[in-house]
Amino acid sequence: MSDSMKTFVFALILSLVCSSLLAVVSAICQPRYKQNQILETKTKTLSVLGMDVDGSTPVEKINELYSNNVRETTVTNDAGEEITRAFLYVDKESGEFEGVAFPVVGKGLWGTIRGMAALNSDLKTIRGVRFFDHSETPGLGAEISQDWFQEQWEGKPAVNEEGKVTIHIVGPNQADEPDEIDGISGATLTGNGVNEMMQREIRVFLENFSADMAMQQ
Amino acid sequence: MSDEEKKEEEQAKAKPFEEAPEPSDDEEPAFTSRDAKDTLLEGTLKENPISKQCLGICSALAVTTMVNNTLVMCGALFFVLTASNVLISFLRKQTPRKVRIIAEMAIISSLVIVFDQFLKAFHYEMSKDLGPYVGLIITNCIVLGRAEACALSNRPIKAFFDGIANAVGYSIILIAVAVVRELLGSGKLMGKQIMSDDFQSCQVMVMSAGAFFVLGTIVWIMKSFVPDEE
Repeated sequence: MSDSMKTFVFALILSLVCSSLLAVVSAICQPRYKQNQILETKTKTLSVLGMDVDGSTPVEKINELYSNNVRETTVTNDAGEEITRAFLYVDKESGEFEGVAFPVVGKGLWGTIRGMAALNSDLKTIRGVRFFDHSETPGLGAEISQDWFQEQWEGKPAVNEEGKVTIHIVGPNQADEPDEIDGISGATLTGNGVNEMMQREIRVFLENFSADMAMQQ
Repeated sequence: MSDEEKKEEEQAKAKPFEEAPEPSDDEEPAFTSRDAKDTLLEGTLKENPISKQCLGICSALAVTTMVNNTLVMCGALFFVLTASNVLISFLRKQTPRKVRIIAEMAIISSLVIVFDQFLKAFHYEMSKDLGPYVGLIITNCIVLGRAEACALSNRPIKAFFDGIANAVGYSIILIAVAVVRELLGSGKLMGKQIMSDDFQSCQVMVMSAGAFFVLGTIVWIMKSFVPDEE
């Protein structure tokens, strides 16, 4: 066999073996991976809606809580275009609308910040906020995903009396007004990004969301 | 010089060095436990991939903020390095020289993807914490470096020990860096609070710059204890 033929056969066999190995592994792992991703979204949704769940909560409990209490729906604008997804929290027993969560996306200092925000049924107060996907500086901007920062948002007014979204981050330990959030020392730019993201996302959501319509879907 | 000798010399000159016959397994001396010990010592201390050869620094900086993440990363490198070394060594006589790098990369990346897939399926949280760094083992210089330097020219048994030795050498340094960084950076060790509540955590340790300081100190200490052979 000539040298180039030998090389060709070798490359062919090696790539066949490698790709079939990967195909088998992928077939075994993909279903579980997909399940994990779905479970993660469910856990985050429940968590932002105020349920006490995290990565260590048993799978069955999360699935049960989610299927009992959460209804998925989409928010459309007047022209019927889809704006965002919404996750309604509906009490299992009374069937009443208690809150709604929706995804938020914005720019941080280094990259995109993804998270979820939730409002109470009056659509005027914040029920919870979670930032989970970001690439902010560890120890500085990354503090936005720490409990102390996220918990501050709970119960804060989403809109003021005039119906404007005014919630914003101020300097560290300087939050006095109801619509102010204590900022993170050394992370002003991340804070600016979060401000812009939250004000925009809450405003757009409130402009297009109606609880009655969503409950009828 | 006789004619015959001249002829032989010319022939030797005409032959490119890559066609030099490789010694077959029978001619090589047996791989003794002494050789195993030497190989292990070389990879972990004398020729430590990180502190001595400065390979694999990227992941050493990126995954050492928490000891738990570091352990998984070390496990991944251990698996990939040992398995790739052995496989490449098994195939070394069949591998045509021209495509050897591609062949090595195919083997290494298949192993890394296998590990990454299993991590995603069975330890999802951990795979999220490690982010892209498991996948980046493919480009880790240690793996390709050992394939080229050892697996291509040695028997599988030697390549096996070489893989273990280098993975252990890598792990020792990474775990040492991670212990210092997690302890000083967040006052914890393997996720458990160690320092008292009023401990002021050292922010620089959480950032990549902190890893450089710790790594530099470790390289310095190792260099003063393990003397250069030159």
